Amino acid sequence: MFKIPLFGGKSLGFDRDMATFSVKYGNLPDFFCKAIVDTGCPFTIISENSIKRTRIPYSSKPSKYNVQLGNINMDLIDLGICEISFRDEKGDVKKFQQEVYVGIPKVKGYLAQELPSFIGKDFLNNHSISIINKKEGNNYLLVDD
Amino acid sequence: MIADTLAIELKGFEADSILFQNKKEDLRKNFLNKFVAIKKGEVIASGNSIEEVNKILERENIAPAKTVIEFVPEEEGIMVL
Repeated sequence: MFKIPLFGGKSLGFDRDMATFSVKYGNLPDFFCKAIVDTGCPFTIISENSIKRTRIPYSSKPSKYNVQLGNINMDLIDLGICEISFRDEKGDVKKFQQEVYVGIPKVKGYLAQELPSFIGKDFLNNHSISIINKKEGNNYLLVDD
Repeated sequence: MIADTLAIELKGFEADSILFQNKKEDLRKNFLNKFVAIKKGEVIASGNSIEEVNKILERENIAPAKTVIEFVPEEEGIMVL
């Protein structure tokens, strides 16, 4: 077992458990992401603002799902299986294979600009990962390998 | 060695993400409704769109994909997820 540290970050107006990780899509260079760990989200989603920092040709792909985040309507584009890498508590890199979606908001405005990325329940389930909540100190993901 | 570099870069990215959260109020003074790029604790670029910030970074040989680029909003409503 190993631990992936989380940090408390404010997103969408409230403190959330967040993690940073890198994503490898095909032969393109890695890109870095910050995401909310959200057990209520069934998908692992990279925000459009994050993907715009890369050369991934996401806009040419069809939408697979249409979902609601609060009152924001969003298309999910399937990037397929990507390699995502986290830094564990010892500073070692841990790699996972995970289906990743890009979330494209269908509305404009400041809220759409702020939409975060999500580490969803799919990732936690696929890799037997639990969220450990600590009274003191940072929460972490516990990975049962 | 490559894994070590990735771990260090990720740690830096996380530190810059936390810095953005902590300094958001200050950033509003100069960068309200703009996108800012933060690297090693400093705002290194700003613009009206991510594409504009990307171009500035690429001119400086800095990879946007490994740089914190965030929107500085006027207000933040609480969204229940």
